[in-house]
Amino acid sequence: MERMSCLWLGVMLFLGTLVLWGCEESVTDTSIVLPYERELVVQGFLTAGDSRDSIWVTQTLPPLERWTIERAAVTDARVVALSKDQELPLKHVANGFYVPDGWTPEAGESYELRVESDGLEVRGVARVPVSLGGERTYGVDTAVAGCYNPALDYWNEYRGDPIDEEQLVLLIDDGADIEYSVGFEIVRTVEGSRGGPQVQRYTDEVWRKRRVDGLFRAILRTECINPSSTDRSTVRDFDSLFVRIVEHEPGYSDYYRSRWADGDDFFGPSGEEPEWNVRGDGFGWFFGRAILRDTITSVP
Amino acid sequence: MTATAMMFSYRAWLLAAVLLAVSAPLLPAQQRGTLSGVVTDSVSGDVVPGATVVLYEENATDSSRMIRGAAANVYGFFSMPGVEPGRYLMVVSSIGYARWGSVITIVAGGENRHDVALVEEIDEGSVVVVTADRTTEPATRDIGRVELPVEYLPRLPMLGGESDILRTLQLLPGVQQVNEISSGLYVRGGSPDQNLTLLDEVVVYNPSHLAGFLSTFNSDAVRSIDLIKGAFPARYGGRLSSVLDLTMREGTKEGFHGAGGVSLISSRLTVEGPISDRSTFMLSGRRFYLDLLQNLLIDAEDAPDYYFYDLNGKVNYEIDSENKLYLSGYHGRDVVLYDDNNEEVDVNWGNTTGNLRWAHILSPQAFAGLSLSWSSYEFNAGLSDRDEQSRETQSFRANSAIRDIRMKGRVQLFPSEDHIVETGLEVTRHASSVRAFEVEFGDSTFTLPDSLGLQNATSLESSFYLQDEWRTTDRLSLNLGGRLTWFEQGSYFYAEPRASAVYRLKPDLSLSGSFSEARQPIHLVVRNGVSLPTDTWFPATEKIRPGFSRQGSLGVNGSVDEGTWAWSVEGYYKSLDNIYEFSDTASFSPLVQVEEQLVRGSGEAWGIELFLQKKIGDITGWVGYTLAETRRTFEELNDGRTFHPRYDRRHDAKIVLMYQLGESWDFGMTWVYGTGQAYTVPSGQYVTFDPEYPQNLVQYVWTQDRYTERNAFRLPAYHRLDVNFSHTFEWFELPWRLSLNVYNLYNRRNVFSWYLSEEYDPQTQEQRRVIKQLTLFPVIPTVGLSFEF
Repeated sequence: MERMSCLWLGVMLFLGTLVLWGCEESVTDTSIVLPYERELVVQGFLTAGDSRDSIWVTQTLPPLERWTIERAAVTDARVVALSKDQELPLKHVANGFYVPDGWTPEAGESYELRVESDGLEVRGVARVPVSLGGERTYGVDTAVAGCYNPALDYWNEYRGDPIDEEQLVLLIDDGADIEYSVGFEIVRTVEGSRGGPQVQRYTDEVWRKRRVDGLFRAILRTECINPSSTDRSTVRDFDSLFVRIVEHEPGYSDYYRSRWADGDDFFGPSGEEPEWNVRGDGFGWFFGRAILRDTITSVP
Repeated sequence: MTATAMMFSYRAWLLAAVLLAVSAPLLPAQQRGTLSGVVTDSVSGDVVPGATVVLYEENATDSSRMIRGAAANVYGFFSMPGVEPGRYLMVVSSIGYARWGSVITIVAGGENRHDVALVEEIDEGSVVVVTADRTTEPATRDIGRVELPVEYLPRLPMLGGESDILRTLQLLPGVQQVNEISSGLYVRGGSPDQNLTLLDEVVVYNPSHLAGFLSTFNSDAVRSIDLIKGAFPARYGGRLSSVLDLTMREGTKEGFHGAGGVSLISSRLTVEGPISDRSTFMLSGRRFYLDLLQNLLIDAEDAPDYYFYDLNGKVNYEIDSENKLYLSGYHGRDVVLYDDNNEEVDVNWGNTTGNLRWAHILSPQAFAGLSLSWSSYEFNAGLSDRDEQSRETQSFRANSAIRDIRMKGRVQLFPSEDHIVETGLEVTRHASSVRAFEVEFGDSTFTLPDSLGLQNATSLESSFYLQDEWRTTDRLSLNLGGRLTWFEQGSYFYAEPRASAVYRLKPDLSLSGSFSEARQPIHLVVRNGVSLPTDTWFPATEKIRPGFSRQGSLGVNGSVDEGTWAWSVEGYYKSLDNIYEFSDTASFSPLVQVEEQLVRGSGEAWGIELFLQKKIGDITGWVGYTLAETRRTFEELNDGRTFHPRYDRRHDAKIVLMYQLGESWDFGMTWVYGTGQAYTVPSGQYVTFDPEYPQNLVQYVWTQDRYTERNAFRLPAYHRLDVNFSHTFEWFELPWRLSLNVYNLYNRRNVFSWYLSEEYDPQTQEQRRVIKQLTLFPVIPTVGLSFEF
């Protein structure tokens, strides 16, 4: 009887394993060919007043081949931008990168990009934003109750008493309905753990698609502080602040947020892809932008 | 279309239906008698829904001398008004029962009640009956309706040794399986959420366990299984495509009995018996013990425990011969638990239903039913993490739920020999919580907003329906009806016409057709075509409109060799509108409203189903083949191009065979074949360029896949052979059944999913991209044991 029990248990375990854990294997059937269609891939900015921006033109490669820039780069494409009834050429530099050839993108202008190669053609339209208008101010908000962001950003960061939140913010008063990204770097000197000064650098990028109540507000730095502590470390405490404000034409942030979309899960690919705005015999993104830089050494 | 316009367009149709129903009782019947009664099981006392009652001439020797016919309703009640006074041979039959016959006398205007107790007879009869096939069919029945006798489930092969109702229904033509892990019913191009699943007349929102691996229905606790694949009659509403109507056992009057079973994956036990001479009970439970196996197989501390359980119960009380009360309920949960010293996970989900019903025979020509029911589906997740040093605990709780309370009243009238009129009123209060989140950190608690943006979202749904089963001539029978529904949230008011017809060319050959429109005010949106327990039901709003379907079917049915063989050919077309999917860029952040993540689209499905069944003999079974296509179109998906959903199958074939090997052995075999899943695969690869970090093109290259159009590729065909040997024997003077199952006998490596991966190539000493295939179930022999006492 005991032997029967052991046998029964063994069978149960073996079969249970089969049921609960399916098998994963490589598909070796050579008759199975994934569909491949060569497409052009176009990616790049036109920046107001900057002729160094480049448009990268590549082609898709079959899904099972090894990707190399040599095989993917399209070096012999005809790349032009149409604006104000003029055809503005772009020339190939290297590895599929094309730059404006003798012209500079202008703020406020629209450009239709046309890329042709081996019978394939793609098109995209970009409008280069006008330079940032309005006022930019930097300030500190301290009267924010509670330091716990509902998005749970600080869950694993803080384990102290209830505290207040202090934020270093950038406010832009601009009437334009436009998308911003703010890249910034904060440099701060602190006392090192082994004595002596230690330089900390904090960089991040903030996205905001649209204005709220007429103001674009970017939170550059947040700290949780204990109101009862006399040794307050605040967001004002920095050596320098470099801010790079990039205005994008609407639509870029949708692409930017979705750019790593690659829907693949246990149940198979969902086919998710980034939000492209270049279409035709291929895909890609092509947007206009304007860039401003601020250097701040202190905030009142 | 506005509600006013919609009302106007249907006004003429509804008026005709109402006039028909109202005028029907006026037909003279005073000089005649009404035969009525209740059909029950002779042992258990259970009513026998769908039993056929036929009157023949007193000395009849063949079916050509049939006078009248009727069918018992869901409470076993039948009524046959307008019968000429005289003596008749009354014959009552039902699947799995011996035919009952007796000579009766009908008197004019007097009491002509004849209750009938049928004796069970398992060895003869059909396995599955398409009711329209019956040559002695007394009136129109639901076209495309399939009755699956529960008694035959153990004779068919089963995965893991556990009989499963939904997986067995997947063996019928027109019913598809999206993948091996899913027991969801994809009926005629409709998704499982478009299937109205009823257990004792109560909606079950998520009828599956373990992400669809098994259905929630314990076959020991279920008495009857009806599937209506196509245009369903007016008494059903709230879903777009099909109806699965299950009735629980009532409990036997003949002493205390029980049944149980042990399979590879679960155990079950059912007990039933009389409470008094007027009352019986049934209790049934089932538990899935993956957690116990898992503890034996792997280090239990490293993995959470998973199990599920089901509890079914039913009590009925016969007040008198004309009044009966039923109280039934179901509760099931899937549970995932993990607990070490610092981390706890408690995730559970499941359905709870309850129903209190009163069945009342108003007169020999009128029957009424009233019910108050409750149904809920909940998903709860709790996670907590305690810091060892500070002893502070962070916890996170999420919950989604839909809870219904429904009041339903129905009246069935038998005003004349040619009409059965049924009308009813349903009022349902839906309370839904899409995703409520609560976070605790130390002493602080944060509650995140309901992501539908509808705090305390409740909505009333009120429906009125009217239908008339009308035998216009000896050859032509109609079922005409319609529903009027008002849905509070969004203020939707709509009408749904339903019609079906059967025309008998010969006693054993008939044509049938049906048409229906339906709306679905509660949506379930799934991701990537696969339903998960986290999927949420949410009600229509001003922005999310009720789904809409319009479907029609035409068929021809026949039988040969005195009913030994039955066959049918049926074609259907279905259009769908206001169906929703997640957008390609949907965010699943709790801070983003679900409404904003959905896109609206339409769909259509067509198909031709061929069905050949052998109903009588040592060898029984059927062959089914379906040629079908299902398509979806969403303006914001797949660049607006039409695509096939994953479960689209062009060809779908099934063979089911059962062979009686002597007195104690049964052999069962099923073979299924289906065109491969419609699937999205990579059609190319590219690299994303980030101008801020151009050096990445040199230092690190991460390729991304370009995909085909949605589901534009076909995976290899799916086919599988399962066999089952079962042996019945006596042990300790109790009947036992030992089942030996082999799932996927020839070990077909069916594809569950394909995806690209990288593996090391020893020849080139570099990584290379390969297609990886996940196969869930290879050949699996299992053993199951069941018993009765």
